[in-house]
Amino acid sequence: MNSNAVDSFTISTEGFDVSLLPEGARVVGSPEFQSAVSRFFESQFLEMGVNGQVVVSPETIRVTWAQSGADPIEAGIEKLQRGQLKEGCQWLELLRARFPDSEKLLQGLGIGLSELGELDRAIECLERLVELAPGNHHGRVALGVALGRHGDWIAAERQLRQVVEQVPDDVWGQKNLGGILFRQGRLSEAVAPLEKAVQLAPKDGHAWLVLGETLLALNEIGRARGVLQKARTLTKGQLQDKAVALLDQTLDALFTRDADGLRPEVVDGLVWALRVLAGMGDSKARQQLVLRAALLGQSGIDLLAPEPVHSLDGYAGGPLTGFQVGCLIHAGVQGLSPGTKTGLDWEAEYDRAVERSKAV
Amino acid sequence: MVRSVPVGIWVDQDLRARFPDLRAAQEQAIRRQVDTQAQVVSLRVREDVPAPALRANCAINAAFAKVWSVEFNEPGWCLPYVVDGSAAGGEALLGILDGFLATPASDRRVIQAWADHLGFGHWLKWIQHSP
Repeated sequence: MNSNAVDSFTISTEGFDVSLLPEGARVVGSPEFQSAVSRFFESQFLEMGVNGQVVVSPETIRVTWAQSGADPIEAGIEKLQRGQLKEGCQWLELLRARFPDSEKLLQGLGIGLSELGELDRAIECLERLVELAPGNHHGRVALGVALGRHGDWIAAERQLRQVVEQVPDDVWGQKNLGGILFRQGRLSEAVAPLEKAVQLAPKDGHAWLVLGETLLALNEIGRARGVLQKARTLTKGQLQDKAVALLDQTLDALFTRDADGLRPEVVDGLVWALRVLAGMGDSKARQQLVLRAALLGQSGIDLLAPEPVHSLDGYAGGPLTGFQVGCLIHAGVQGLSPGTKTGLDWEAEYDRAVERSKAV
Repeated sequence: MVRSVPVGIWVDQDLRARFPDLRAAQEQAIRRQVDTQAQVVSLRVREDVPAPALRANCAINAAFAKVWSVEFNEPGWCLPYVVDGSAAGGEALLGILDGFLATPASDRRVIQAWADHLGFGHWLKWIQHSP
């Protein structure tokens, strides 16, 4: 359908989302309401670059605009893409009566409503979309996502499986299928689609994050750490914070906490490191040892690897595990510059280790 | 380094903000750079480099590591400089950098300010660009 051929639509005033209007103008049919609705559409015309007119009566809103190259559906979708979800959805909803079978409109509106948490309306929209266009995989994934958000796991999984079976390279389908399975606690089943998603989109930090969270829940700590480190580097903001928190949990999974909330193995490790450093006597040599450990840590050490594979010049006790190097770094840095963040989150354990060392 | 690092930090930050698709490649390059620069604080290098030049170099490297350790949540990147005693020098350079607007018009002034702070501002000689 050519959307440019259409130049007007009429809706009832009850159908307008009053939350888009200033607070004093939300009584439907009032003069303030009529003025605010006019201003709303005038601003839409301005954004679309078309000449338009809106006539608001107490019962109806009639919107008319001059035919031009501007695509009214595209204008609504652009709003969604700019993050103006409410305005975009309102605009597309108003246009829906005139373009009931537009795939573009139904998909944009369905995704927008789903993001707004208007799940019943989103599902109705997206179901209509896949009914009209069964091959629209993006729309079907959006339907699966909305169903999942609604808690209808079975229907969500059915839609998402249909997509990944027909289009195994659909990253969004694979990622969301994995996410739906993870949220149901079907962890082992979630791994394969999530692995496929990160293989298809290696820069998708969110997919790496969900895969890492799944592996952590499966207690596959070593793999989870690698995946979460990847997620941490590819994400920003809240997603990155979550990756960091999950990385901390991988350490918690290995080092259990005692009644005081401390990890006794970490305390023991730090006591050992304090002894090693104190035993060196010469402060210059001690600083050099900590420096070498810090340089090693900078290029990455695996705190969980059990094998002692790290040699440090100045340490005569043979190869060290990654955990021992971490203990030397943390204890050494705290000794030189108390309170410095080492990224190891061992502050409380360090304090206990110092107490124990002094007691000895 | 005093010519390239302060302006380079601005350029990298601008790239990171404006071109998300380049972030992974950029991060790889920054990780390599942080790793390479940290080797300067090792004992072997220390013995071969005059102390004033080494101090300046370590402060610049510490500034670079600090900026990106915050961005990538990698506190470990700063630790060699904490141990080595040059972290404070890096912080001071970043304080100077923060005092300028990150625009091309500031390039020359920020380079000069870093060089002055590090004690070799008089080594720089600015000449008129002639294409």
